[in-house]
Amino acid sequence: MVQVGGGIRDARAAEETLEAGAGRIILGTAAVENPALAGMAVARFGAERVACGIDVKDGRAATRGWTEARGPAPANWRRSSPARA
Amino acid sequence: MSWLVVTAVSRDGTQEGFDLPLLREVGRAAPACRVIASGGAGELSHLRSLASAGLQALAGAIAGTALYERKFSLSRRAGGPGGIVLTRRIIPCLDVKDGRVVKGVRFQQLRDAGDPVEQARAYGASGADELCFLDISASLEARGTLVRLVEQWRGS
Repeated sequence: MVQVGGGIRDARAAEETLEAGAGRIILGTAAVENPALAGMAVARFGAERVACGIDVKDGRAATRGWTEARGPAPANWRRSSPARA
Repeated sequence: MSWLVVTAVSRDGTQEGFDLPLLREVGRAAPACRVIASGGAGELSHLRSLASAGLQALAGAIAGTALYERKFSLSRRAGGPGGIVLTRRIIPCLDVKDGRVVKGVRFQQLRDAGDPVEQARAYGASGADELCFLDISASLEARGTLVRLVEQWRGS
């Protein structure tokens, strides 16, 4: 099983990657900045095939290739992320 | 139930061990998620520490540079003489930039580390049942790279 991430920022890229045979996609920046994408991917492909990749820098979720650490702190992920159970 | 891949940026490529306080915090914040820990794998003791940290949400651990540098091998993951007791998965991760595997520290000082499909094949042969490709080019031109990589991996 291969899981892949990096640069999957819209529904089409998510679909293409999963349909190519990826077992799971990892949504990084996209999941932080566009929670609806993760929600769509989970609804369409199932929670087993979608992961939210969260890079933590200085205690916060970092986006944009780690140049900005402005996302929510882990304690707030449950409120702000579609990755909540 | 959802999956999180949690990378401690400050540990990436350092081989200094996993960020256990961060992972505990994640476990408290998202108790129903399954967490794959990333950043800091360097030696067997790090995997032991991770496995014994009481992290209920832990579902796997990513190892990149340490596996590449053969600090430990996948075949020892299930225990046995000199091996470790880690029932959860160790997932080899290949960071890919411009179609090549790269290694670095905190994603800086990148150096070439070979062909991704060849390395994936080698990890598969050595017992990996999971693998991670991470495209760190992070450019729009890179779009499609992952798709091609997955197709090549499937065809290999």
